[in-house]
Amino acid sequence: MYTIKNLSKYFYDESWRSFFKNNKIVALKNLDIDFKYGDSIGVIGKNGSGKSTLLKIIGNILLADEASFSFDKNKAQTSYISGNERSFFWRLTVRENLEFFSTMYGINKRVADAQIMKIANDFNFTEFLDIKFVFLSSGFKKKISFARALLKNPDIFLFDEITNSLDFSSKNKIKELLTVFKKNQSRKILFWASHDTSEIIALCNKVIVLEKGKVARTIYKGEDDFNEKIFNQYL
Amino acid sequence: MKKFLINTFKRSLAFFKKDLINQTSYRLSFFLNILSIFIAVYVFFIFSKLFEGSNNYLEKFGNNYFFFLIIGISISDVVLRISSVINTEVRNYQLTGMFEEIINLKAPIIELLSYSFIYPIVYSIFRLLIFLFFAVIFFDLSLDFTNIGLIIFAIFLTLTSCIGIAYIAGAYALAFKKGNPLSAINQLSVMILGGVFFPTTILPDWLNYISQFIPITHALEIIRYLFISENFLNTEVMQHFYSLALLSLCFLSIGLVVCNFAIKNGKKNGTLTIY
Repeated sequence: MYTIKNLSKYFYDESWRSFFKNNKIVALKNLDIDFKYGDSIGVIGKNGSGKSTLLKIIGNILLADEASFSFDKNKAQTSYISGNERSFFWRLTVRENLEFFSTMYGINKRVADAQIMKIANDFNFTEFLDIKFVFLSSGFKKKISFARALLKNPDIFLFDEITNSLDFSSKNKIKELLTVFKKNQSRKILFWASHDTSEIIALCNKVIVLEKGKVARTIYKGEDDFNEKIFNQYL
Repeated sequence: MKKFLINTFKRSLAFFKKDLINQTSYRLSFFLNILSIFIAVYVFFIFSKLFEGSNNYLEKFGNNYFFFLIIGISISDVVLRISSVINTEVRNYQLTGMFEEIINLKAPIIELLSYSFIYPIVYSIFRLLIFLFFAVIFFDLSLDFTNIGLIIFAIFLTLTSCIGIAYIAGAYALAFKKGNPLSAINQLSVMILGGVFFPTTILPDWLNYISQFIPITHALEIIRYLFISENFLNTEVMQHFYSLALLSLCFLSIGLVVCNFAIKNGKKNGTLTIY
């Protein structure tokens, strides 16, 4: 079981107008969450409610101002996957990109080659391996983001609105991939921040609702309120 | 320890390969760069004709302004390129969102930024050799390679100081993002006070004094002196070596400290990924 207690995070407005007033912005305030192996946790809330900040803190991309963690954040195997397509080298091929990142993850070349082929097969992009990243469609680029996260093989996956700006069919493909992935990797922990409640229903067994940096409520699968209508009230 | 070294080597190679593929994919730019070196050497050759003949300031350089200029320009090309590596890389990472991925790698960010030096160093040395090759082959520049070991050592020290300056400029980009004055100051001081176009002895005393705190001043003194035939290591060159080594150590130490501080601060404030 992983627990995070009293998590608070503040940002500071650096614009000129902040010169004359308090420039402290509360992103997260006294937030408590817990999760265990196998959990798929949906994180929902309006824009600015603190979803990305929470995921980035768990992924150690951001440091919390106050918090106590039951685990060593520096050692926890996490992977933060955002919808940002620019986090690849666009003039390199898909294979060259994945090889580069697997070297950074410390994976042996032979193992990495085999893993890349396996993931490419599973995700159906073998024929795109030697295509430059720049020529891929948005949906495909997001698929490769997920493939890169799988190469790292972390315990905790942190998906931050990765299906934003995707068309209906690409969204469905990503959803299908993740459903299959969840079935095969039942011990992995998955965080899914999204504004799409159908994704939350399909993928998650627990939902954290964030409002102004606080947990407004937690809803578990099987409860009456675990439905799109209720979730939409918080978006 | 062995595993760490193997990993470091593999990562260095991966960064080099990535940068090489990236840069050479702009084929026209790559060839135009080489062509521009030839044009530059040719222009400097013509320019140097203005200063032919005996000159007090150029006496210790064999009264050869073309030699003086080519060494100055080729070394300043290396210095300016390496000094801006981290600044450029940080801005690039900030603008593309690559920083989140870099932080995600769980290796120290400073280590990952340091790998970015490998390709520019190799490419700069390649450009330096092309500069000298064109000058020697097409414009009869005479260089003596007897002291090549010492010259390589001087270039190594120069690179070390540039890496330090690059970390300092990178720290600025991490903290304040745009409008890096350090890069401009570095560029200006190298070109005006570093002895690239004219010997620093021409400068007024107070500017000459300031130029002693610029690594390239000493690097050029050493390299020019040792490239002239029948010149060997003497007390004056040794003093330049000591100064260059000291400056390199200072810039590298300061660079590492401020860059690490900027990274830590950026991670805390969440500003690393902001541009």
